[in-house]
Amino acid sequence: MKKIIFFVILIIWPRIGHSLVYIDINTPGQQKIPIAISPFVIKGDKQIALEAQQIFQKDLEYTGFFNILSPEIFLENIPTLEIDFKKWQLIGAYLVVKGKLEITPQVINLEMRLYDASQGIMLVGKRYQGKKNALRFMVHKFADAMMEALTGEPSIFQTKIAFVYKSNNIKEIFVTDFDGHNPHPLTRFKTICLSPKWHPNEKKLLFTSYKKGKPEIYLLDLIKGEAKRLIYHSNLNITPAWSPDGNRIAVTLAQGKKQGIYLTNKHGKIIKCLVESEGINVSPTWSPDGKKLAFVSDRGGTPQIYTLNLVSNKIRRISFSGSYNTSPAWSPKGDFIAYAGLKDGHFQIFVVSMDSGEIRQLTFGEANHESPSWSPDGHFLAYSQNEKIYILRLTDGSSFPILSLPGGQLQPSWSPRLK
Amino acid sequence: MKRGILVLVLSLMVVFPLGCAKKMVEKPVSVQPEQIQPLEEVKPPEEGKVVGMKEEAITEEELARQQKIQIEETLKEEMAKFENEDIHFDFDKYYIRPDAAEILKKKAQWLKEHPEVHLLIEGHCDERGTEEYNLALGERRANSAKEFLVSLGIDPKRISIISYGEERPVDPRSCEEAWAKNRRDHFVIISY
Repeated sequence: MKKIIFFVILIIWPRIGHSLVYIDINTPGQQKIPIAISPFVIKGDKQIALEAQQIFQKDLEYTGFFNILSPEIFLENIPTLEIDFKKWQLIGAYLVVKGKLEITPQVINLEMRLYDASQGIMLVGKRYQGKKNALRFMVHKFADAMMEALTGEPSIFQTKIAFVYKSNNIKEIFVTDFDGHNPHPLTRFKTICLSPKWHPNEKKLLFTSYKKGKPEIYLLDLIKGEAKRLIYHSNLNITPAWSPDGNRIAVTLAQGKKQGIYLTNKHGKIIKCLVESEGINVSPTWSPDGKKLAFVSDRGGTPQIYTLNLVSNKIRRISFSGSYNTSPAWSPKGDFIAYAGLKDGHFQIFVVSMDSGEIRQLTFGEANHESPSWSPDGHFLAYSQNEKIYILRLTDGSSFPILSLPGGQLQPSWSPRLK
Repeated sequence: MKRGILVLVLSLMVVFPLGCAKKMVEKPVSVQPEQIQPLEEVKPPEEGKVVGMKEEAITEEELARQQKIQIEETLKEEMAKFENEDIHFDFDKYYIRPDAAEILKKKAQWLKEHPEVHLLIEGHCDERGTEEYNLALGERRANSAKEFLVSLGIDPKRISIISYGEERPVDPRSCEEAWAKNRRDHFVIISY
């Protein structure tokens, strides 16, 4: 079975006169927009300028939205910020990006422009100034501004992915840029750390650690650079999940003979028990409106995904095929829940539609695909495949690894857009 | 006669202060040798008695120590046996199997005989399944064994539990044999 493309993402073209131009990238063969990246105007270190162009091109490739045209066919191939639209129309470029870089030992000035060659207009124009180490950030910022102009919202170029790094018997929390650049440790606990979960809009993470013997929840403040123990009510304090407003936390605790999902305030103080039984209740994930939770329970005999309506307290099973479905992740727009399900001896990533209940398989092959985590725009899923972090692009179903680190990498958690 | 000698000795002791007793003893010995003999006879039994008592005391202590060592060794052996005997579970399950029940009954009996023992039950899973679910499952496995022991009369206050999920396998291989070993409750004595 071929990978199923079913996510319909419309690129909204800027309004020209009365008409809106839509490109349905769901249609195979037609979806990719031909784009030309004109050679940048460079003043200073050519190597750095080349790097900037490469970062930008990689960003465009990451989205899967574009057909990046080869510079060999360019008619206007002298670096210039001037544009002759005719020359780009002739080679079939719908979009053209022009750039200018001034590099001095102290500072970098970057100017970038996105043109609609077919309409003959500039869609985005930005100037950035920063130190050398801000180059990557400046390019990502433009790429996001460009995607916002094309689709109505920024992409994921200013996001990070936290994950568990496994080496021998130790597991620490690490973080990397969305593209695998600059992976580095956030904890040095020298014990087991698990389940990193980003705050919905701040530079904070919740995670589970055995630092004091039992699995307990810690809060890591990335700005202060400190981790503190937050939830330690029982023998088992695992799988934390922030509410969409960041004011509450859903967490699995074991109290007495029972195991349940509890609601705490943002300081870890218990507000109430949401669901409890003598079985398993774990891995809560909030709906984006904060009115529901999805979680895993064995109340039906095997691990399955359930939703809990926080208003009516009604529990509904949403995974029906397979004997082992876990790790639910509610999509940012609320329309899907992704999860890992066992099929023919391997874990695969599935999504279930919250409207129709229809279930689709997204990964295939003889490998374990686990712990799906949505990108904030809902266009991507990060997951672990045989202990490596992969990105699944939902627009075309393709997937790719982002890190080349030794050891194991598990449980990715995609950050919100970071300022 | 003896009494007369005793009186004499005592009177001598009174006359001659202890500080120079040694010097003064020689004179009576040379003057009345036959009277000193019985004096020496009186002393040894007294000394003998004292010495004998001391020897007895040492033996008792040693014996007690040896017995204690032996009791401790036996306890340690029993504790090691207690700790080394895991119970095992079916895949994705946390009910107590018949083979595990037999082991738990033995453990409960031993815990009744050693009411001072407190223990930690560690719940473990095999590597299959997801990390988070296995953390929850490991807790249920440890809890099952605890509840089983409590139902056999063991004070729940003596039992702590912890889940290690799939984090600490005894056999790191990926095969049914290893998985079967890893799906376990391990018992650790934390105080006795």
